[in-house]
Amino acid sequence: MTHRRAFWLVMILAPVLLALCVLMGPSGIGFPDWTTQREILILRITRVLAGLIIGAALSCSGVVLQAILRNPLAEPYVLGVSSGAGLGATLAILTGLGAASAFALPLCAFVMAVLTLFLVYALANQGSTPSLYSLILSGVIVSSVCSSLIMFMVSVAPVEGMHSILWWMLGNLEVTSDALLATTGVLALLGILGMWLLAPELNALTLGQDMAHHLGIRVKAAMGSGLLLATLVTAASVGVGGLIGFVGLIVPHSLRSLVGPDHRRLIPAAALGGGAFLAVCDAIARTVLSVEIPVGVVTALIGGPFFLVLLRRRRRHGWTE
Amino acid sequence: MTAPAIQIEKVSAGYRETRVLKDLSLTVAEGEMVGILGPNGAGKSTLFKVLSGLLPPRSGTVRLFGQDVRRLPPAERARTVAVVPQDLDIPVPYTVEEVVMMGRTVSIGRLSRPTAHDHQVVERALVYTDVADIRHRPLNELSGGERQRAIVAMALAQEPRIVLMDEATSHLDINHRLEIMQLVERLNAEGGMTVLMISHDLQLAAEFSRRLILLDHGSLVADGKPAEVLTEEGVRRVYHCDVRVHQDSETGGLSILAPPRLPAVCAGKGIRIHVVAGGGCGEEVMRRLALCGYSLSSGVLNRGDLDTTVAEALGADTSLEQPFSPVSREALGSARELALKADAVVLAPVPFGTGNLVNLDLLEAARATGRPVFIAGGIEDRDFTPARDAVRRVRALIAGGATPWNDVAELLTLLPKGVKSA
Amino acid sequence: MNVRIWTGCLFAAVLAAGCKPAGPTAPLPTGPMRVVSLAPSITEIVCAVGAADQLVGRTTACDVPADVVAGIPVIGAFGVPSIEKILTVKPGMVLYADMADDSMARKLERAGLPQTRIKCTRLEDIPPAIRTVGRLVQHGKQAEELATELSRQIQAARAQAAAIEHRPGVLVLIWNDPLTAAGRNGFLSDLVELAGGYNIGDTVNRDYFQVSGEWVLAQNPDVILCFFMAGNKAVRQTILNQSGWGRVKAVQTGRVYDGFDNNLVLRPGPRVMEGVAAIRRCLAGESPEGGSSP
Repeated sequence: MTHRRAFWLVMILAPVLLALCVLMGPSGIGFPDWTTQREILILRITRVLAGLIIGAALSCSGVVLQAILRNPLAEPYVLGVSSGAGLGATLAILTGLGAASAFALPLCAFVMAVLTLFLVYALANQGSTPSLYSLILSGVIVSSVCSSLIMFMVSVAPVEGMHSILWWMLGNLEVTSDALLATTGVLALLGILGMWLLAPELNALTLGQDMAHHLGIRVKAAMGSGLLLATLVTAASVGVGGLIGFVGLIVPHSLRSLVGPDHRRLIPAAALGGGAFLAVCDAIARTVLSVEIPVGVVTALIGGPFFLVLLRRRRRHGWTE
Repeated sequence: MTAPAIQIEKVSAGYRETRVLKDLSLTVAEGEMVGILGPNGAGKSTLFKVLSGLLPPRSGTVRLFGQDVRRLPPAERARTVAVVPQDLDIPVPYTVEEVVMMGRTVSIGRLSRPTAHDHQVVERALVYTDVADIRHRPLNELSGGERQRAIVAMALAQEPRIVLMDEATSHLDINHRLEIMQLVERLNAEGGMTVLMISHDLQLAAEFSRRLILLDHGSLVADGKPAEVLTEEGVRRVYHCDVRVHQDSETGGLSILAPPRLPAVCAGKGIRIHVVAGGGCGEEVMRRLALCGYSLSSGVLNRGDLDTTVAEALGADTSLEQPFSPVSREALGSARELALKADAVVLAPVPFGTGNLVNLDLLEAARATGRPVFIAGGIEDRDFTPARDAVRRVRALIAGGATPWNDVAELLTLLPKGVKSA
Repeated sequence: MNVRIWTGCLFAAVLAAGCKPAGPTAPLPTGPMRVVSLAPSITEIVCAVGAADQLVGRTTACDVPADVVAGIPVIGAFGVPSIEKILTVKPGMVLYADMADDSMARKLERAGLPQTRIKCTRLEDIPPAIRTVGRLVQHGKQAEELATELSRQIQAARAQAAAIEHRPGVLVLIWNDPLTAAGRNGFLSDLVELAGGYNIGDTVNRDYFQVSGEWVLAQNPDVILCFFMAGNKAVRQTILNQSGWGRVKAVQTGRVYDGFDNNLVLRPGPRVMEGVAAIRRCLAGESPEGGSSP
């Protein structure tokens, strides 16, 4: 199967999968009746939409960060976005801000995530363009400091708040407010569009900063905007859905091996493919047992083996030789 | 008025504390094919980084066709100068064609697809470099030669007026090396492309360049036709090794023969040399002598001195003095014994002050007993004694039959060789 | 291969669309208030005020009264209910005590579900909670009787406890790894007080907190109550063998108790006084169920 055919397959299959997700829910499999079960239908549609938006945001961020950092282990949380957002959410929950408005907690998470990126970038940036290793290293360090701060606050906090933080960190696609989902959706759409416009730069940056420079790329500007866009959409999605692992790591790798590494195809494919993947995982998480399973568990359980099979089958087409 | 392709004026550049290029000035006309030579660390790659705008010079200007390279818009710069690196590590499986098309990055707009012209340029680059038949294969599956040809194709797809080749062929076997060089030569001859290439292969550089530039320690050492630059003397001074350069009387082509001899490992076997050193100046002498099989002794040295560490590591007998102390009578006595046990005494380029001036006694003693003595040149710059005693005594030694030397390669030719006859 | 996959997917979609999700499809029923309980203690209260037949949804943790809850649909786990499942049972009111997640209340609201929080964090909260539930399910009279009786029992127990001169110091462990004790802000502290002891964790201004061996040695409790892993006979022995605890009074005298019905002592519901009685028996040197000390 050529990359081009695989691309169109993903682009067509993903919406079909999304539609199928609406048919699944803990109250039974099937299309909810519009007159009597309208609330259930709306609930499922918003949840599938949340899956699409968050999955797309995390996958595309993963694609961008892997290209810029030239590191197969890079994922949306690599630069400390997750723990930064977690710190923001913890602050919001513990100060009671989170209870004030549906926007307060996501906003706190978002702001802290972006602040974390700037801190990581400032730490790594000495003089000219930051080196990839110092970026990843300062990301890891800032991340651990944030995690420790979270643990500190959790351990001195009243127990009730602690539960909220732990559940928030597990991730959940049930939306608290339609306006929040809409805002996040618009933000993610704009961010992904921006990433897609950066595709030529991302392609060149995969060859290394020097080569990208020789090809006529403004390396510093391209890296800066790529990192910023990836952080913005990740932070926005983390604010809505909490920390959902694995999507941002395996979807980019899987789709790269399916549709090829050209970012002009890879980013749209990651957006739809990642969105559909997360929506399907969430549909399974809320359907298979009488009790809902955290969606991160399902993404890892389904995505992990799928990824390993891909890796084995297309080892030579994957990241490594 | 046509500006030269490359004009570098008084450029200094480097990284953090180290200054690699020092006041370098250089002009290359359009259509030239220039080889850049020099030992490791001479500043060749730094020169390319400055030329491609990757590294801003600390002072001086770099102009490509009259325009300051730092002021060139990136897209314009990519159309002017392309770089072929030694190797390119591409972590994702781009196909050959995708990579070559990346050469057109700035020509293809952000939102548009490649035009017919873009395809035509890519096609030509693919064919020129003979990678058209493997265009759909992932780059990281290819052999080194195929991959390098694809990278050259990417550079060609930029349609640059200048190509910088940074040891672009050093990973290739001799066949592919020649093939790429011939390709570059043809582009230079037919398309008028200006080519600068860094190479460690003197023979290859001499064969394909009409002009060679020899760099050492960030400065220009020689610049001219291959026969003018690649002299035995010039190569020895920069690379510290002896080569035989032979110019074919009919074709005028140069053949550079690998040093007929770094003296073979056993050249110095059974011969004992005493080295007068200090402050690290004797490191290279002692290392090279030990490599050639000479037995060594050294002194008087201060404890903790860099040369002391080297001498002890090489198994030399040493006569030592306390750190930062003038040479004592005892130390000098034992050093004299070592010197008189040796077959020859070598003076490394050591600076003299009042504290270590007595070390010259050892040379005089050796000379008095008829032993050969070798003295590093340039004593005038290293004499820090108030009355310039060192200069006076060294001149007297040379007048008395001591041999001066300027670099280690030369010294090795002068030293006694072979198994000492009983 | 793609064409086949396509047709397969579309066919599956059409088939799936043909069936309907389970659950009533009739318009919102009128009549008595239908309630969903999101906490075991609330389920107990609803049943205790005689409104078991109005309960249309419960959590997996709601296990008492066993014969009643068996027939009631499960709508999720304690603290993490499925909103979709709640919607299918069409409740008139969702009652919840605590949520694992603050945002759950907002999610219920967004789904258009009427909700009431029944606060039960202290012992004194329980009678008012019973009255509130009773009012909501239109069983006010029964609720009033139950609440009054419970209040009276609490008063009586408090008076009885006040008469005790030497109250034993009690360490209440709710988890073993890490060792977690009840602090001042929970209703376990109230239970111990009513049973005639004092909770040594009262010095800590939290509902639960992690304890260190050193802290336990310094506080030196007379009695240790283990409210975890009910049914595991080894619990008492592990505490007795806890390294470094040899000098703790409760360990020396063997006054470490396990085998409680944890649903009585940990659940702020209508049966709370039975829990107090169990603790009182321990403080008197008997086993929680009565009879002589182990």
